[in-house]
Amino acid sequence: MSLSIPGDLSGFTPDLPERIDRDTWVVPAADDPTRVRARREPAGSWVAGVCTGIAANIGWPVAVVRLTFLVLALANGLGALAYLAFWVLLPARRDVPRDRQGEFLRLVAFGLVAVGAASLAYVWGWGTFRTFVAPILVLAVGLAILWQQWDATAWGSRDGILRWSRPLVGIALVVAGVVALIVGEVGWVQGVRALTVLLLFAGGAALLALPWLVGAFREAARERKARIHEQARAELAAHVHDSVLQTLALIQTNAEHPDEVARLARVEERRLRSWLYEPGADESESLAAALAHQAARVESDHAAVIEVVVVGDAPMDERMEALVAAAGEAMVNAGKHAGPRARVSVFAEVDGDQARVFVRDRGPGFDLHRVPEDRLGVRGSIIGRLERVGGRARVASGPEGTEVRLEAEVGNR
Amino acid sequence: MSIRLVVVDDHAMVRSGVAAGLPDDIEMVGQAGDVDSAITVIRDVRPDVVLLDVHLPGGNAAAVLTACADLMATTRFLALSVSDAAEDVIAVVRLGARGYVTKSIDAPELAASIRRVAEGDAVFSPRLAGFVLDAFHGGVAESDAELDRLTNREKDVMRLIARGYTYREAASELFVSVKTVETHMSAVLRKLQLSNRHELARWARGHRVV
Repeated sequence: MSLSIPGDLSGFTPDLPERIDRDTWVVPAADDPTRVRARREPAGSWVAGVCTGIAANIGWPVAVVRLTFLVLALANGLGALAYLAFWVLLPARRDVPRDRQGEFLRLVAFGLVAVGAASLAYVWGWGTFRTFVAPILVLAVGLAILWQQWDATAWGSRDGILRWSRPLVGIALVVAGVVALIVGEVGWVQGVRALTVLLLFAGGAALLALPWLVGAFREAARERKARIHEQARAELAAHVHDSVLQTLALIQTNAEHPDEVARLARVEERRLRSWLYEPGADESESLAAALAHQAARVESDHAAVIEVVVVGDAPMDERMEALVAAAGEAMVNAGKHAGPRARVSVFAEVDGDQARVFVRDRGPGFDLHRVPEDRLGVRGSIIGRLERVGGRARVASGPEGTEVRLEAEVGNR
Repeated sequence: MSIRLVVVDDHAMVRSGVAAGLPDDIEMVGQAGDVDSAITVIRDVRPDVVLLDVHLPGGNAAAVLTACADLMATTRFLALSVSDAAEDVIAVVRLGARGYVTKSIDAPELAASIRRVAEGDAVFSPRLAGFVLDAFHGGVAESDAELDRLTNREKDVMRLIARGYTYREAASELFVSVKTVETHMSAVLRKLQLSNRHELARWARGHRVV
């Protein structure tokens, strides 16, 4: 029987990790977008996602791939070896969330393997099972546990007690498997002798290798730390160069225009603050981030000072987008009518299923009823926009300023 | 009688800026640029109000507040900061500051805040009010203690402050007197200082403020 790795190898390029650090493996973007690179697919997988990944890559049904591996593994063990090799070589997909159902299926799969092993024991007879198959199974389970430890995407890998107990259990199973194999093969007396020799040999090798291992480990840790430092420094330098230095240069060239200098300083202050205190806030996902971005845009276009306070948060959807756009329009109005360097207060609160936004300025008020119908500012872009998504807008204006109150329902979370 | 003020800030420009904007009824009787000299000056002149920068060379505002804990009955502290970071603000409030204002505040507003603190009332910036609403948000599963909840009225006041209302405007919006608003503010400040709510305790622990 001639054996071959399943599938067409010409289109099958495992992309190797660029760095050794396994926690931070990055899948590099494919140079050729038409060619899909093979990756392990943790979602929907049984063991490590090798079969799922290969099936997705070559377009076979995943069951066929699994069956091929299984047949090869049972025939002469090559399937198992190939599986392990793919596990090491293929990087895992990290952009898909893990699914609980898939993890349950894996447990079922492992259970089936155990049942299969028991059936084999029945067929081959108890003697062979005790001296040969059972130790190898124990050894294999121990190795599997250790290998899953190595792979951060594997099921059950989380912090806490599991993190420390799993390697211990794995090592214990491997040791037990080896001991049982030797004892079963040559009997207790010879077995103990063989084990002693093995232990002495392993201990000696460990003693010889220990200084080197410790040195290598320390060196790796030191290099990793240095690299993190260097990355952080480079990021800071890039940020300072792109934003702070540019703004300082602009301020110097605008020294005769105090309003412009104040505006530049304010915009840069806001940018720096959000960089320092709200890393990773995404305006397409969070109401709070979207309002902050909206305020920053209005601030840089108009000479207003906008303070945004947000209590709670909501995911962005059509209604929240209307709310943010209407709030932005209200901020623009406040910036225009309340005079240069006007202070505008924006307060947003998500309370249960309602999101409310208040935009307040202290400029001279205006009477909504005296705004002509065809002037679209307040009517169209604030009130109309919100009413179209089932929200409400009210404008309260008086001698002490204007407050626009906006309200919309938050979608199901 | 005028209010006696000490300004603690490591930037001389901020200190002179504050001094230049003070009205007649507030008198600057001392200033300091770091923690040690601040403690000495405050103990020497026993001012009514200390305007205290959150970030100071030699140990930050927390060190000053801890060293002056025995003076809290007669000397009130108003924190001044450029930082929006909640942890900075909460730490100084938990240590006894009567309020918090940002450095972008204008002179009349600052004077009003100093007067309010001198009378023993609380001063909340919109951002601090927003943070209070956040920290006391929702039902309290871990405790039913009165300290761990805001009353509806206190929430209303906090919301209006967060919306940029002055005390007077908040009072007229709620159809109550300014004094009532001040009472609510002081109650909230007390809860902010003493509550063991998880969120507050976490900020405090992070900054070794117990």
